[in-house]
Amino acid sequence: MRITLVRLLTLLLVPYLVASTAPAEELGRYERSVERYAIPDVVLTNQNGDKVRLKSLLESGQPVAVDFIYATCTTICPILSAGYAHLQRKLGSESSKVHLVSITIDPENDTPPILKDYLAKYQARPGWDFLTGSRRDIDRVMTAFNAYFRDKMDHKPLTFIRMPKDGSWVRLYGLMNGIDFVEEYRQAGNL
Amino acid sequence: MSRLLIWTLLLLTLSAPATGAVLPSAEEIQRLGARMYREGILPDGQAMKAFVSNDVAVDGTAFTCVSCHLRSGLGSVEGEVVTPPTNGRILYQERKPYIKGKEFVPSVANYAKYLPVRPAYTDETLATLISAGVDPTGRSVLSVMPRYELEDRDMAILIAYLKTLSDRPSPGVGKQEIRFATVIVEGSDPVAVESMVTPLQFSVDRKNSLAKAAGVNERVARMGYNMLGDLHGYTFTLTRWILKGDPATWRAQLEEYDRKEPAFALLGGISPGTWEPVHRFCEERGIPDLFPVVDDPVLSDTDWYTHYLSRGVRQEGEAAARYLHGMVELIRDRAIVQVIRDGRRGRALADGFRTVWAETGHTPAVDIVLPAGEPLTAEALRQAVAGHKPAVLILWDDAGLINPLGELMADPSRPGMIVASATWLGSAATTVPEALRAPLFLTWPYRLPQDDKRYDIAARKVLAGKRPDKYDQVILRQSYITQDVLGRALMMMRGEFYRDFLLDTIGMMEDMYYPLYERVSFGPGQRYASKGCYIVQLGKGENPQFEKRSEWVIQ
Amino acid sequence: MKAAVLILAAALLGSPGLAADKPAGEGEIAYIVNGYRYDPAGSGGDPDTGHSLCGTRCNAISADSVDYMMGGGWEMRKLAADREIVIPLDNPFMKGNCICTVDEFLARRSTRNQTVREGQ
Ligand code: HEC
Repeated sequence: MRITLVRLLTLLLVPYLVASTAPAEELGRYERSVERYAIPDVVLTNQNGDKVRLKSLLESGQPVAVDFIYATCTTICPILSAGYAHLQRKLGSESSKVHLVSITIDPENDTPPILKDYLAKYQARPGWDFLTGSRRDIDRVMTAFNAYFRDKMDHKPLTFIRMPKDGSWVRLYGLMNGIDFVEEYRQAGNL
Repeated sequence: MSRLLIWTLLLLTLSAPATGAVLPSAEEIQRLGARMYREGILPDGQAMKAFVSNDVAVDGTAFTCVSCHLRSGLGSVEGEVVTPPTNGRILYQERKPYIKGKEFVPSVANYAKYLPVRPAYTDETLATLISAGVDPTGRSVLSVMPRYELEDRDMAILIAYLKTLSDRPSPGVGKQEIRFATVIVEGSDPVAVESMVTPLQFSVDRKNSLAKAAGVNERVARMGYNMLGDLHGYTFTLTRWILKGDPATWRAQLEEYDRKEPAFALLGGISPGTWEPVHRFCEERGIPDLFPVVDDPVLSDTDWYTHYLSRGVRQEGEAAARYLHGMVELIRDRAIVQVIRDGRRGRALADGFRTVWAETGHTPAVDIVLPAGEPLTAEALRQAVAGHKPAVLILWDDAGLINPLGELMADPSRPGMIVASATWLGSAATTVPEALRAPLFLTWPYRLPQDDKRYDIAARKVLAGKRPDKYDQVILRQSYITQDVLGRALMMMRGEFYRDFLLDTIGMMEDMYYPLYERVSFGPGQRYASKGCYIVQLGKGENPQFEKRSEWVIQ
Repeated sequence: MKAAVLILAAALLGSPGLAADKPAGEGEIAYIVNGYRYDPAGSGGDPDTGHSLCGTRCNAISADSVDYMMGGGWEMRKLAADREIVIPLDNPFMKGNCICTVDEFLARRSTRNQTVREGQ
């Protein structure tokens, strides 16, 4: 099943498209669709070095968002992570109800201490986990989310929000405004 | 242009901070400007404040200019995102329309294809861009570019700093020539030196013959241009900087070489002992040093200019700790004993293990140091085991450990698992008796030998027909990597031959598959190319092969 | 470093019969691992720990297809998809087996193209 609701929203950020020659007026929107994903039962490692089973982590019934970033990435990751931090701040005391998961696409470099430093730089609160792990496992997670990047330099800005009511995922492609991310999160029925 | 835009622009221009503020000295601009640009800290010590994505407040300490525009200020490309240069030289020039037909050349024109045209900035319009995100055409730029709240004086300092980024040609770069040097510390094994230099020299010679051919043959010139862009006409030189005597005197020798014949970058390099003085020299002078052949690199989270092939032998110890961390549930409450042969190598291995083991919050291993030169005995092992009853025994020593360990196997209280370094055991690893192979786990920081054979043809290309058995196979392959990474980076540099940009460019390279290491990877600020180390066991039979028990990188 | 050199030298220069010396056409089996499970095989091993260790154990046997290609002149042909193979956990502290779900390939020197990719 695939319900595609491509929404055009003004003032939003999609970066210059290298592959296509997107005319200027096409910039400033993100794509949204609702998808179903089968999460692979892999074991990843969080910023504290603890092993976590991804499937149980994501399908716990708690609201959860997932993005793919890495510690030394330019431009895309700072924006995605600023969005996560912003969501946590906006939700204030409610922020513990929201589980934010970042998964590194550079497990070669991103060891748990590096993940931990990264979270600290963004003043992440509890409830934001940054996961690393076996490259093979992470490849499979990316593939499961239809977000496979052959190389970290082919990275694209993607965020996923799980709708607890039926387990489907909202797929957001593009760099969003802070307020739109908060809104997408609320709409997904998570709050 | 819409009415509204014009009004916004007017308002912004009027309210734009005056940049006539009195500037501090040039050194202060460097210091304070770099602090804002690289660390996101204002001259008064506070974090810079900005808004991204229209409404998201961020502190400069989360990310700042360098995170997107990179250290050289020449911008970055990642996936679909192109971040433009932000150095004065380019900002204060008009950006012309992209010229079609040039796109296959890795040049500035190609890069600019994705960027809208704009007139040259002035100090005022630049301040407007940085504070309000409006460019000189009145376009509100993507809100990925943060809008910064800066006092007039801080803005003036930042702009003055941007003007100093990648503005003067880097030393060692001539009109049509780029000079490189390789540092050779006297006392290095001559075979090792030749193995290090040969691939570099091959690469330099090949480049020069192309440049020469292009000089006399129009067709070759066109081909060269299509392949290499502005780089095609350049010739390269490679000089040997030989360091003699006490490391304390190397600094003066390096300064002398650098004064007489400055190099754009140091390539490779080799030392039988320390590399630290060369590392420090490069750091202070801002000279890139690509992949010296050393076992014990200078580790630092902030140094910038020396890129190493790996973290050295300690990477094996680190891998052992990560592997054991994966089964820590099974050895809880039982000791780990680390037997360490005293000396540089043993200490580096043990320290790698210790550091990563501590990071994961486990009880430290018990260290037992063996004096250099004193053979390991079965009795010493038995004592270590009887005293601590370890679940895991780590032995950082050479092949002398095989026989005593074999004797220990008969002991009923022997540890379940033994860890050692396959590179230190050397070819003797294949003589380990079968009885010992089940509990023995080895660290191996290269592609498995049987798999690396696939890379033979590639690696031998740099020998230009010379006999491979005359060379050190590891160093030859390491130097192969150095020359290839350099070649690719120079091609990607769009004719902007600045030292910082060389390193920025390497940081934007994709993961590479080369001889020797399973994989090398890069990233802005990453300085150890190979991050992996297998944990292997020995297979069955005579002449056993290694079998993987872990992936290349263990997390 | 010296010792490592010897191992590599032995592997690279001597010992005939290893993969690259084989004539074009012969080859070796390579797996790409798609999933894993722990089977305690009656040992009573903890399922969570077993699952995690089998992740390491199975992923360790996974080939990297890019690695096969980049050496130059090698190709991979798929023989089977999602096959389950059983391997011992090989852990001194825990018994049991790992069931790895793999795609199976025949990797061999290409018969069509012996040239090395330019720049490799
Ligand atoms: C999160 C990434 C990011 C950070 C941090 C960032 N920039 Fe930018 N910057 C961009 C992007 C992307 C653009 C291109 C925007 C456009 O043209 O629409 C840009 C554009 C610019 C431009 C205009 C270039 C031109 O040719 O018109 C300047 C100047 C600039 N940035 C300076 C800075 C400075 C100075 C800082 C730090 C105080 C900074 N940027 C921090 C991403 C960033």
